[in-house]
Amino acid sequence: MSTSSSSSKKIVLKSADNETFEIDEIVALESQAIKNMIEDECADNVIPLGNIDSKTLSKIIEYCKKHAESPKKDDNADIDEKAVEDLKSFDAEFAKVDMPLIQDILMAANFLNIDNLIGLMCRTIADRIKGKTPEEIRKILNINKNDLLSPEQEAKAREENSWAFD
Amino acid sequence: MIIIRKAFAEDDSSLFGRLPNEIILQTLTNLVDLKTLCFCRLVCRRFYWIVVEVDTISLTPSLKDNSEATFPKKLLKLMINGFKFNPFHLFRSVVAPASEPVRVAPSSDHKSFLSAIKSLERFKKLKSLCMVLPASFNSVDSGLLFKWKLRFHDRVDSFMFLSLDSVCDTNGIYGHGNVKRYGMLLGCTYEFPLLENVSIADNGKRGRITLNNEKVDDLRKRIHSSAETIEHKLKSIMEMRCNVNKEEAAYIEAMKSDTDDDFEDKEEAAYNEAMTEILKKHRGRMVNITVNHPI
Repeated sequence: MSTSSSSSKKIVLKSADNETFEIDEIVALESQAIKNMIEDECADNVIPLGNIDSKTLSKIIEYCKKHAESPKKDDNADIDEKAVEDLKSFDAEFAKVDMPLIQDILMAANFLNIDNLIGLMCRTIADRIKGKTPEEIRKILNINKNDLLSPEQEAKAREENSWAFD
Repeated sequence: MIIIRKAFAEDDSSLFGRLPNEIILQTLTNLVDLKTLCFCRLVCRRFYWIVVEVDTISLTPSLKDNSEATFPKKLLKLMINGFKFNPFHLFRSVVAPASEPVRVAPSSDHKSFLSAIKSLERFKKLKSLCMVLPASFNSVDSGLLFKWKLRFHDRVDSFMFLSLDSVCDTNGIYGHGNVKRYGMLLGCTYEFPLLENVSIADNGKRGRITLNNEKVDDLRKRIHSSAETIEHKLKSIMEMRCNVNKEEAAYIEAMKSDTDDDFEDKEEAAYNEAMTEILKKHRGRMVNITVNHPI
């Protein structure tokens, strides 16, 4: 209510567990999917997000708020370096969550089409598995046993990449 | 109205079981490190297929490069051992005909070497490749010389960078017969039609070759051009300047064609001639390096 006319339009998001989040439209526009809905005028006042729980959704809103507030790169060649640094450290802090939540955020960000957030989560996962052995990676990512290579395939792949195991 | 899919609801809890392939690829693309990428091939079935789609790879010495038998050192050794064949022989026959041939029995090292190269070759979508050569090599060499290899097929786009330090090592280069240490670095080998950037540096960053978009393209065009004879191609490619430090010279050498025996002979002759020319051209520079070498 404090902001002026154009940015004060509100969007309400409803999570899978029926929690509602009222946010500024500008924050919601960080999501390309929601942006498209609004542009196509097919968004109601309340947008139900049946596959995103409230914990994940509040995290995503936190991200979008911060990024909506920050000056965009293409706004001005003379970007405030401090703002860029600030956003970087925000992202670093934001990514300090456990793997299941990263997973949920990534799924939701993919659904909502928030490129920056997808990129951040992908980098975070990559950082956590970099330099790890296949066994460690499986554990970190909680890879389902059904998804493993067959013993024969694994032996073959090990052989093919034997230099890496020396 | 908005349709919200319940696409992911009933699957299990495994992260990568639920994510679309593009997201997995994007994640794996962030890894860059060849070793981790190779490990990822073993992680699960989806990784096995998706990982080879990444377009950016870096091969760098591991952090524990000081300790013995780390990967790069080992790889280096393999590289030295692995390249006893044709180009090196030819090179040596031009450079140091009297010296003993490099003779290495095919060992497990040799196999590992092929394995490492094969691993890289699987990444057909590679666009950007960066390689830092291990520090252990620095103690051996003074001026690092780089060498390129090109492979000619019907429609060929594979080539290989080699760099070797031995040319300016110890007692010199030209037929003295006692070039003792051959350090030969394999920069990279690839058959990557999408490659756009290559950067190869030694650990101290003294020697570096960088080929960007344009030059890689240019090179590719020259290789594919059917109007020119092999000899012309070689000469024009040789004349292309690549981005190297003063200390280094760039060498290009053609490799044998896999396609046609007759053709091979011609290429070999062309190759020989090309090498002779390159050496003539850079003789002054190499001698300089030798003189400056603080033995």
